[in-house]
Amino acid sequence: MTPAQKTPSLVERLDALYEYDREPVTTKDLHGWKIFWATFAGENIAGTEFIIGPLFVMHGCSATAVLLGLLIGNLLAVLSWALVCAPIAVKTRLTTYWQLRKLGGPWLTVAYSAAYGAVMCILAGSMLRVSMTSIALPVEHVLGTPGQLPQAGWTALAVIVGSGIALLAVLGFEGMAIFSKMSAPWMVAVFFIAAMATLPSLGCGAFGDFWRVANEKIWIGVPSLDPNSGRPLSHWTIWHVIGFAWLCNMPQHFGMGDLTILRYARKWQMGFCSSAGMYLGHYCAWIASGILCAAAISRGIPTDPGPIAYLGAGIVGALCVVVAGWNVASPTLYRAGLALQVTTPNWSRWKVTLVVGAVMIVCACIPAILTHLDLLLATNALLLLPLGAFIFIDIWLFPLFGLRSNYAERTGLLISWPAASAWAAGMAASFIAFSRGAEPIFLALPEWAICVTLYIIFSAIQQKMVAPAEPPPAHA
Amino acid sequence: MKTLLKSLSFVGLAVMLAASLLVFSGVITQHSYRVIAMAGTALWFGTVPFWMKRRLHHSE
Repeated sequence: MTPAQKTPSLVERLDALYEYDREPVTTKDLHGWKIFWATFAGENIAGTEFIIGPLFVMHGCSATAVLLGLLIGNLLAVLSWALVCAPIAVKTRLTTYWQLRKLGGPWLTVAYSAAYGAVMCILAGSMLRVSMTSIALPVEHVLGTPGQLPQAGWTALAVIVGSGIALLAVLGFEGMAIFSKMSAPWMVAVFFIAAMATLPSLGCGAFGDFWRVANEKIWIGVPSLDPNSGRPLSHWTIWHVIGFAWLCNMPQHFGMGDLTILRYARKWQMGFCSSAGMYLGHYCAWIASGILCAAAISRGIPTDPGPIAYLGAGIVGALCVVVAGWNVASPTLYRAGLALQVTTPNWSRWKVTLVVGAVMIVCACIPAILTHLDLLLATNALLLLPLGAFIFIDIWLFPLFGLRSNYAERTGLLISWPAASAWAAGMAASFIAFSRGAEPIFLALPEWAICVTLYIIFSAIQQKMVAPAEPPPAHA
Repeated sequence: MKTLLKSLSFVGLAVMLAASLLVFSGVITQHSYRVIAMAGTALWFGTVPFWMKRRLHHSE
């Protein structure tokens, strides 16, 4: 076999997938404020909003905790985008993938892609489940109440709806993305009208009544019973609300996932456009879905996305849940396929997408995927957060400490052991803390601190003790 | 033409918002509100594909 004919290695295949984005964005491709306002607003109104808002009601948050906690938590998220992620994005103009490859080597990006792909599969499953709760409304008496374990009727529905989503992801990803963009303003309106129309059923007949009803009927400060175990859910304080609002999008801001979007920004200040998504999607929409949840509880209706949206806006509400779920599930499936394509033996994109679609369907059959969405989002954040920490340290702090940035690229390393070890240690510390009862919401900052400290120490050892001389530059 | 279609789209959303405020105030019934919300939705999705930019702003 000649060198030209040899089978490409795993790393070469992964690089080929992202070849298009290899070079920094050029000046002519940069975008202005308008597009970032629209992007962030559109990306943060999704099916998950119908689950997260009710979480605050079910976990017994007070009205002050929700309204003030979300204000602060979302502010922290906006500041993280604007002051942590955006400055790096406009400095390097590279995607997360290539930035990681420079500092951590190609094998670290393989691990990142595998982890990212797995998380995306599960998230797509949860979005499919969200859509199913609405599609199931007309046939709910046949399917029965979803319990703790997968049931035949719901599994059949997951297969039917999931196959449609997977097919759309294969055939027309771009069409789905355009439809998603078009439906975003309408979804914002549906959240608003559903909440507004539901308030009278809670005893709120005028704007002046809202604060009283909010405290007495919506966020009453008493945790609901877990529908599976029958025991009260954990009680969430304002700190939980702040932590959750900040943690929810941590893979995008502290985890640097949005370098891929913000590298097109003319100025780093455009990171503040994230406030559109945070305060429309993660403030107004979460409050709206919390109101819908409280109304559903008062009437003995299930608090799943479909039933609560139907309660608030009828068929339009049910349609909104389907659209919100599909809009996210399809691109998420596409991203999962892209990330996991490397692990398959030269399969085409459609084949990989269909396989990850099957995984999505399996995930959607598990009812707990919705009831434990908070845990799922926290795991996602804790898994990807360290990689963003490495990028931050590599770019801003290494020059101050006299360490060399992009060390793996400079030296031709296949994997940066400081990054890999710090990632593993940070994750292990979080896992141990969680297994001993720590709330995952509060583990992000400790994990970030552990990863940063270890990465700096290990990199100093690597660069100053193990390899004191500048190695010859290697070809990336 | 584009301006007209754009205006109609936002009229669709405005009608939905107005209906929710009216049902909140007790002026119209839940049934009327739901019918109006459906009409607003139809207006939005019936007009928005003709004016909203179809170009995606970043590679996926």
